[in-house]
Amino acid sequence: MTGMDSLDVVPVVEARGVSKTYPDGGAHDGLMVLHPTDLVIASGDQVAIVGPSGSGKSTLLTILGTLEAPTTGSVLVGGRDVTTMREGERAAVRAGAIGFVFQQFHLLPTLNAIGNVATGLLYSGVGHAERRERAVTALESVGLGHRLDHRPKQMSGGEQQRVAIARALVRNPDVLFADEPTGALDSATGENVIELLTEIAGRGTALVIVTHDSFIADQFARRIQIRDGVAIEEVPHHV
Amino acid sequence: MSKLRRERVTLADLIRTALLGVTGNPQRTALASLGIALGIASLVALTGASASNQAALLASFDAMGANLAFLRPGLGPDQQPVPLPETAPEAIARQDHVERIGVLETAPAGLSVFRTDLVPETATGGITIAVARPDLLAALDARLAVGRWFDDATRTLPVTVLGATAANRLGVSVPVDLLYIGGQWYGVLGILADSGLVSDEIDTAAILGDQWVRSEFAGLAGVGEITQIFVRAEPGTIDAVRGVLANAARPGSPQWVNVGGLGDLIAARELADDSLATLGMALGGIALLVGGVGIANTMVVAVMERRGEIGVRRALGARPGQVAAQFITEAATLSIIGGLGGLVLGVGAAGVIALVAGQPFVIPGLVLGVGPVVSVVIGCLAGLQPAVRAAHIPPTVALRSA
Repeated sequence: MTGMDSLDVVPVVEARGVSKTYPDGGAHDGLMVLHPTDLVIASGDQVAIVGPSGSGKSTLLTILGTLEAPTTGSVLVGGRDVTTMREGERAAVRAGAIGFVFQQFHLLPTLNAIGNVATGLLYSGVGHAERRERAVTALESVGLGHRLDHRPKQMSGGEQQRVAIARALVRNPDVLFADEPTGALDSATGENVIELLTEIAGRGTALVIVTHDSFIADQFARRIQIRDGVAIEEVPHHV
Repeated sequence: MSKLRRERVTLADLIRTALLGVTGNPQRTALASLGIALGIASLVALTGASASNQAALLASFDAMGANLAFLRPGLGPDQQPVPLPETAPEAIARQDHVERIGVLETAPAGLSVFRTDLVPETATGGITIAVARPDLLAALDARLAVGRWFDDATRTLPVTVLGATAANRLGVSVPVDLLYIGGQWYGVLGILADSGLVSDEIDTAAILGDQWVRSEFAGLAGVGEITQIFVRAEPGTIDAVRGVLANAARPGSPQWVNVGGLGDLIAARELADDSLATLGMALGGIALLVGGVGIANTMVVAVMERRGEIGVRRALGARPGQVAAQFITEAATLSIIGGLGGLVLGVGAAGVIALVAGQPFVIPGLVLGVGPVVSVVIGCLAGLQPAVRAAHIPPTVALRSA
């Protein structure tokens, strides 16, 4: 199920020939960390981007997530070309459609769990009271109803990552990008986090995860292998 | 897609977020506002200390007589002195900016002062006679070395208060002696301390009580008439006060009143006033510059160390302008905290300096009002540049530094 078979449906995210080249400061053309890539992610898709470290998989993720501009090509979110937008509009696209989960959680250390999750709605035009209400609901849905007032430092890594997931989920994004979400966790905790993410994706949110762990990647319907900046989608083998 | 709307962050959310940023990390807030507080404190303390110095110096000028004026009888149409009217002291005391006055009356002619009745009449020793009302002591800011000054009882008695030079020449140092004045024995009530510039004529005088002289020498020429009025003006108002004195003393014919003052001293006081005010402004300006750089530095560091947070917020959909607004609001909040703290610190420091130096404690009101405002303005300006720059860092770069 790639979503590509229903052509009348607008893909959640679409990459058209995106590449990334970093200037190397010399006379050369620079270092191409991502070769031109086409990719379509439809609603509810579960995609794993796999490859060794330094292969360019995080670069692909941040380009798809609009956090970084591609050197060539374009990225469409919900049918809109974000590469030609101004930064303020791109930010609005992120606030409305995209959620992120990072390896290092990136919670705000001065805020408690509710505050961190509510911040996920701060830039989406939701009022203060409703933000907190929805934050509590989101935290309960990731099993942290008992940790509402705790700050990141008072929580375990797994709990912090679940707060980060709640922060991404609280605004019902169309697509959730997770960059090595289990990278800082032990394998049992990581397992739980992956379970939580796929469960969320089952409700219609597309999930794109970057991992170097093939055991995790095997749980995803779509797998994209990146090696030396070249992305190749594996043909599904267990359909 | 319906979700593409540029949502606003409300002012309440902006302030809430800024306050959370400020209260969430008390240590960081304390350090940042300390930097601001020190800047403002140095501004307030330096201007306060120089203002206190200025006030102390001007006060000593005033004590020497820079705020003193005196009235003497002027010459009438017949080229004879016209005595000052009896109503003059009261009328002058009512004028604006007049703090206090003192009155000298005409001394009876032909009185000399001797240690004993055996000294020849001609050996006066240059000691004069003055007749004073009790208010004279305060008007001249004179102090007694020993003994007492005239009060309502002693002004009616045959007693005298000696000027410092007069006492020296007579060899009197304690108020127990008797003096032989105009053929009569007087008790020594007190001896004035050396009073500096103001009252040379008092220094060499034996001062008698006004009511004693009026009753004892009644009928003698000039007795009971006012010969001089000393006027002590509020600091800095001497020019205005001098302008109204003659008319107040003798409405209708002010030309018969002679108004004088210590002109050189007044000019010196003005010079000191101007130059110390300039010094105060210069010190304040330097403190403002140094404090401003401190505040700016604090803000740059505060923004730079939070690049990770900026990246997170950008990833959550914050527009660059919203991130910049948050940090500027935080900068303003820190500046208010630091500005008020600095005000307290600076006023305290200036107070301690004044106390230790034994000066009057003066803080220019302008500094109290301007200090916190300046800190907020500088804080915001200083926070603006790094905030805007940080807000435009690509989110991935900002996240990497988290």
